[in-house]
Amino acid sequence: MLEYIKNIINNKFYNNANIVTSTTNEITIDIEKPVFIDFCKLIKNDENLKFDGLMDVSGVDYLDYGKSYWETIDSTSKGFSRGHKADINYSLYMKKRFCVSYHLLSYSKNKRLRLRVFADLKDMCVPSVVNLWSTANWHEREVYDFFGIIFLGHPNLIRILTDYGFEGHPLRKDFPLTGKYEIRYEENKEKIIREASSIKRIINTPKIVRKDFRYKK
Amino acid sequence: MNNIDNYKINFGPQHPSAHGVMRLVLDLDGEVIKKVDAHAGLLHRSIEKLCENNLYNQNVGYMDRLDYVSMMSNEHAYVLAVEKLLNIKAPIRAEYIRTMFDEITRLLNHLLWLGAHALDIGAMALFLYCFREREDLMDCYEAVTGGRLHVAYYRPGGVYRDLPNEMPKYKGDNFSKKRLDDLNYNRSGSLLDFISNFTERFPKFIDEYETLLTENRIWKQRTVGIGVVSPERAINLGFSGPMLRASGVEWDIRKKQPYAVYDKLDFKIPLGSNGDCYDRYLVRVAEMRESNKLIKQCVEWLYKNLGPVMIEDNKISPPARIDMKNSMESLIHHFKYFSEGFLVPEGEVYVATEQPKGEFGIYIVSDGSNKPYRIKMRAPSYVHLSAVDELARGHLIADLVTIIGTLDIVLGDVDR
Repeated sequence: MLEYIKNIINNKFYNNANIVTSTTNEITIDIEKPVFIDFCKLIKNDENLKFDGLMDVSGVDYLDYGKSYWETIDSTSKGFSRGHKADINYSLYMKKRFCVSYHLLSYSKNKRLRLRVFADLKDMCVPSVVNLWSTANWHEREVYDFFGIIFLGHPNLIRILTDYGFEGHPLRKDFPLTGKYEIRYEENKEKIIREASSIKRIINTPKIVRKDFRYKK
Repeated sequence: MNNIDNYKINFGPQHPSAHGVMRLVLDLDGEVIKKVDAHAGLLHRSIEKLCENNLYNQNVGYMDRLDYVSMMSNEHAYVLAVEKLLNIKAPIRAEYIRTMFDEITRLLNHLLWLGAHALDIGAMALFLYCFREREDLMDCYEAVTGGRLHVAYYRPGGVYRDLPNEMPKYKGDNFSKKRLDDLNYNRSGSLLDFISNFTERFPKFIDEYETLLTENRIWKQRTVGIGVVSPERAINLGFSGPMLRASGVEWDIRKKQPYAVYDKLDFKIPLGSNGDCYDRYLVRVAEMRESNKLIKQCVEWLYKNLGPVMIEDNKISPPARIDMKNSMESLIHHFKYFSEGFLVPEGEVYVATEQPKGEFGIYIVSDGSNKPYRIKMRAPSYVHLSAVDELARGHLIADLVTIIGTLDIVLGDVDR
């Protein structure tokens, strides 16, 4: 099947689609936005592929990708750089910041496929696939809610899982884990008020990426 | 003649047949539903964000709290995803234990569904019958993990501990001697003896439920022809599990893309033909019979074959307490495991498992650190609830209750 998809890409979507191989035996295809809908239509209707099930749509924010709070590389000369050091200025990921992953399933061929479309803060729009797979309706609303990615052509793109009147997109990496606001009942005013969150976040276990591969076989 | 507009009513957020905190805004024309606007998210806890800030081994407990009536099945998808990224495999005995508890969980889920669904429609007695059997299965959970609901039993690399040789017994002064003997009748042996005894008893219980419902005229009037989904629409709407099979699509991940030891066991996929609420009921009841067979096969295997239940790599599983007292290396491993966790290679993985409600998928993006960079749960209830508008249009309000029941939603799963 991989060969067949490669052929399609070489013939019709040259330069616009890219197959990413991974160690986990899952096929991932990165697609440019302009040809995305065409590609989806093709793999959904092609007799040899028949990806008629869309199982999942999820967003990913690559802002902190590969960043660690605790550098271990200099451990011998200076000791560990203990504690919070969040503003290390590099990211392993040089592509665009946001990505939308689509997990497709072909019931008749028993195959799975992942499509990825990238977006950036300058251009947060991604074409909607609701017309192809009805199930995308709520999935895309969820991605919009959590990441602020706008799906062009979606019939009812409103928030779904967060509270009524919520501000911000909570699964972005620059959104604090503790939230921005807290809500409580103020007795004197006899109404519910919203204040800035007073919770202090404590990091018990720092995120670590090891770049020391001396002992790796 | 006056022009009368449709009027709107709120169904929920606190409504007993909404199965949790779910708000539906209904557009009604008389008693006929014109549109259903489902407001999900009243139970949203942002588990995905919390998981991103935890170590890989700390996240198992969150999986229980997603779909809180099929706890171990959720854990299974998560540990499989982590194992796939780490490129390890759990020992065979652990896989059999996982399979057995997956099926026990399926029974737990379907029993709760059957009882609650029948109660929604008006069959009061069944709820009590179903909870009688759930009690026994919960005791199995309790015997092996100590918890009855949120158990955190599966771990990346195996399961937390082997099955106990002794089944806990009832005791106390509140029972008479004879009552105590009755209660402890099948608890004299090991956990496996208890489960084995349960699988012998259980088919008769299913017959009991079926006597009450399957040919019941009222039950049929309430369910036949309600919420019909064609196979094409079911696929297009992303249905999975019993919802899809009731429409006649032969798709079961346990058969088609087997995980754990499902490829070594013998079972059938029950199929429906009409795709209405009655067929979904029949499919789920038939699934309970199949699960019972699967448990039986696992119990037989587990009797005969002993062995480790956790991978013997102390980078991924903590060392035994006794080793820690004697070995320096074990002490270091213990410290590193609980302070830093383990580092998972860079990559993306999507693992789907056949949870009682449908396809439960875990999508993990790892950047090579000790915390998942992004974790997404593909919740079957969420997808099924999104179709409630299409299913309920043109039906009466009373049928909406049937449709919500048949979707088998759990709001912990929908809202995450």
